[in-house]
Amino acid sequence: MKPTKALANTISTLLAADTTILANASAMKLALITQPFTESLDRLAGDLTMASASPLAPVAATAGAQENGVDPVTGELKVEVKPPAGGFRWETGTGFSGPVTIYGYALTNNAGSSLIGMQALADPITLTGDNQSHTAPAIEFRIDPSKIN
Amino acid sequence: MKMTKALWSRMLTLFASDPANLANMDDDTVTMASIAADFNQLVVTNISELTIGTGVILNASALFQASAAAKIDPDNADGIVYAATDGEGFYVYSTGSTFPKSCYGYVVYDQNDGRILATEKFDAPVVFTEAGQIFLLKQPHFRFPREMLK
Repeated sequence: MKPTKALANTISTLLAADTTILANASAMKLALITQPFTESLDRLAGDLTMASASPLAPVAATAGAQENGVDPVTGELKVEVKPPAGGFRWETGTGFSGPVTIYGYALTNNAGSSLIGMQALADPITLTGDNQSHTAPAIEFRIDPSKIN
Repeated sequence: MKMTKALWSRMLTLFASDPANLANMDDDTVTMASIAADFNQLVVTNISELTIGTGVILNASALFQASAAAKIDPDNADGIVYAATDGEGFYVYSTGSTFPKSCYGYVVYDQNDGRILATEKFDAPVVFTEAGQIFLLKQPHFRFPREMLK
């Protein structure tokens, strides 16, 4: 069946407010992925190599309901993960023992045990020394509701 | 960002169990009806915009019941949200004496305010030529192709 646009658009609203995963009271975390990977619906947390120690430890998102909306150009539904104050940002500081290459980002639950989403960088970034920083772009899920039938 | 199957499955469950929509689909509030004239699936929003079939009756007493069910297609990982069937399944049948009568599809709508939730349009209208004819429907469902994830 073809849902009306109003019904289809409830998807992003429901996801953004779902306390089981995206709106959980324990904030999700964004981790840096430090080994090559391919994005896949079937990917699990254990499949990825994530930086876990300071200064590249996962950064907590803002807990609670996330943002959602409709892209006015494409009509795609968006669920936007709310970054913490200062954004999803990492800085090597001093005494950094690199190099470390960032291949993408992993969104996990607070414990890091459950993978929620992943995003590969088209061009990996290598941190080589002290006082280098990296800020992730906006983290969002996009859904094309026109394909539901 | 690409979601995992855990979030994908959760999305389907949320859609199926939303009490404001599909999980409110029982015979008291949301029901189905056959459509007797051509229509545009992309623009209809209210039952008043459709020509509902008379004498071509859709049997759907169970519909989505208290909550639709959500599952994953094993062939392609598409998500499926589907209606529970009653004992007789879903079908359209003809009554009355004036024929032919055509059925172009069916609609799921809220009886309280006429709000349309979904429509199904047949590839070609089904033409009934006399009373007592029946056209079996495939189980009402929504297919969520995994390609919809960007």
